[in-house]
Amino acid sequence: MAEETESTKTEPLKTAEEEFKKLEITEEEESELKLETSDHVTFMVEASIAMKFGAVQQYLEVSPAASASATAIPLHNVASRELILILEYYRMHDWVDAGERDLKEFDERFLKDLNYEELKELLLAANYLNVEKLFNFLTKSIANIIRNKDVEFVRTFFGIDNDYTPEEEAAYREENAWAGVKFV
Amino acid sequence: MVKSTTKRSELVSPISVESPSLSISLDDMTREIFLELPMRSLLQFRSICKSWKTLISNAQFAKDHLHTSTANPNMAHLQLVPFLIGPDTIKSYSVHILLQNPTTPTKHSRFEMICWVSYSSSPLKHSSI
Repeated sequence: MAEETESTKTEPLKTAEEEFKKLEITEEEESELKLETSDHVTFMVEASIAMKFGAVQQYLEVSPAASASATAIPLHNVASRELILILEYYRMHDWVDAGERDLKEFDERFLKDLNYEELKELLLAANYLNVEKLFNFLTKSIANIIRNKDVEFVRTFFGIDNDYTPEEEAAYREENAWAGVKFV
Repeated sequence: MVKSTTKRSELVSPISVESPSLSISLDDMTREIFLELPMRSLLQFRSICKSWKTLISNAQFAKDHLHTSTANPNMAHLQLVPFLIGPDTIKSYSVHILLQNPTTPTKHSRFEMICWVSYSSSPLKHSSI
């Protein structure tokens, strides 16, 4: 009697364990790609996300063996700090359960946590990696930052030197005075 | 910042990339940002540096900018600015002035009038200008 009870009790347990194992296997089976950043940090990244990077796709077209082997795909122009951010962005945007509102909140927080330098670094990294969604998000965000700013702010933001002569600048001011376009 | 600049320029990428400058002088990135800006900002930003002026005054850019801004309903109300583009200048005109004085553009016949931003809900739709 006692034995019987025990066996009936362990059965559902075993099933649950098997299910868990199955799940683990499924997770393991999801292919990953090894990416190496400019500061020589390697990342194992879900292939579903890594393949969104144009640079990774391009690399695999040239050297298809890299997808199966242990060879890391080099990302020469992306530092680990930027890749972490890029992965954070893509994992969130790839998450099936994320609603529109969640994504909006995430995007706002993501942007708030970046200073101007980091924002520019990330734009360069996104451009290099050829990640369209993030690139578009960053260009839009930068456009929003500079939209109503004066010329001097924008020069400082982008690190641009004024290569106009004072005369040329004065000519611009005059030409655009009628339109109410401000020059600083 | 400086460190990573050095790193970037020293390394050779397997994928072709343009200048690794951190000043974001790369035309394609700047261009994408410009496409998101209203014409008024662009007119102002021509005075930032000569290369920006060249990019903003480019006729193809102006067409792409129009296309982008008309495709984005959020920007529509900001874009009701007709502008004329010439060899090295862009002039924008207030809609109001042009409607009252439709001959204004002809004073600048050397300019090619490349765009009128007009929407179905806009009174400009039936304008004869």
